[in-house]
Amino acid sequence: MTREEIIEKVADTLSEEFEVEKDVITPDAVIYDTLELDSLSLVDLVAVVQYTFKVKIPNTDLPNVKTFNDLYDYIESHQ
Amino acid sequence: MRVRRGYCRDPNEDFCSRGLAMLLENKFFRITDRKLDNDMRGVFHVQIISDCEVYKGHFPGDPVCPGVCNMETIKECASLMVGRQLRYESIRQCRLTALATPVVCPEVDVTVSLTEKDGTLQIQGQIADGEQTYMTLKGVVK
Amino acid sequence: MTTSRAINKIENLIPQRPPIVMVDEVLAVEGDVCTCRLTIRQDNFFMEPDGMIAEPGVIEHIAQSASAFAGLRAVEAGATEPPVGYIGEVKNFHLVRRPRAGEELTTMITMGPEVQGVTIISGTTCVSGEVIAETQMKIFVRED
Repeated sequence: MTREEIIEKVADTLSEEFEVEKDVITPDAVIYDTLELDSLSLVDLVAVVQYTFKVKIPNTDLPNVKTFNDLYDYIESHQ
Repeated sequence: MRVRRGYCRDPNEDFCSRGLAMLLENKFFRITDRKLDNDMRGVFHVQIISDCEVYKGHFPGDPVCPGVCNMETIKECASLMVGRQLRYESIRQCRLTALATPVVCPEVDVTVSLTEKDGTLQIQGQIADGEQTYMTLKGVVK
Repeated sequence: MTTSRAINKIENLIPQRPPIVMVDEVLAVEGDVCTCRLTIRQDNFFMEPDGMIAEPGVIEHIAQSASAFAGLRAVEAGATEPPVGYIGEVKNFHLVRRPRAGEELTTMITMGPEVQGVTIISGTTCVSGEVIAETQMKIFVRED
């Protein structure tokens, strides 16, 4: 997947899974706040990324994935 | 789908569940007060029965309300409200947002609302006290 | 679905005790998938006058099956006590029908990702091959 395709797919899947508008998903936005995650729904983020992109974000790497830009980078470099 | 009215005409009639044998009412929880807007929406003030046998096994020496018993409590309050036995057909989401125990929350408010939509009876439930919300639930009953 | 080691007694795998033990035995484990069994007895905590158990009882059965799977993994990793897990969230539960006294439930648990003590699982419960319920769930294990 090209980076553009990743960005598009992230916007589609996460806006639907977490019921937010696509336009709030911007490169510098903080994922945790934008998707209003909490301890229960954080695991859904990992599950959706794993299911959609076949990329598993281990707990050790999760703290480094703060913004959507970090997520695009992580998926691009681990797919 | 019309909600089949039970025989309970006045939703605020004190005991409109005469014929309804609820599984957990007066065993796991006891209703001490109810404020019904109509038979589709209401708030039940409920006591968590601390010597219910379930706590012998959930967990020995550490009583914790089983989440599924709180789900059943929401459904039983809804059943008492409409005056007939309702059952969960599906639960879209039920979140347990705080640990409920007979010590932490001996009394709670169970808010239940029912809406008819696309031929199904949708239930929304919440269990909370002044401090915390313990459970929120969205599902379909029949 | 095979398993090479003796599956532990259920009391070693889950913290729940009577009257609310809702899984009898772990039958098999293979990778992230585990199969468990429960016979519905007349004295089941969720038994109703019509001889069937209330549907939240099926959810508790699936949750305890997942808990037994997590317990087995913990015991194999050297834990002496089974972890205490709570249902954090139930999602997309569907009931086909309630199980009757005497029926044997076979449940397949698939363990999903875990983040900070919260694990996603999915469970499908059958009676002689017929699906009677399925759900997704998040089990929260309290590290104390």
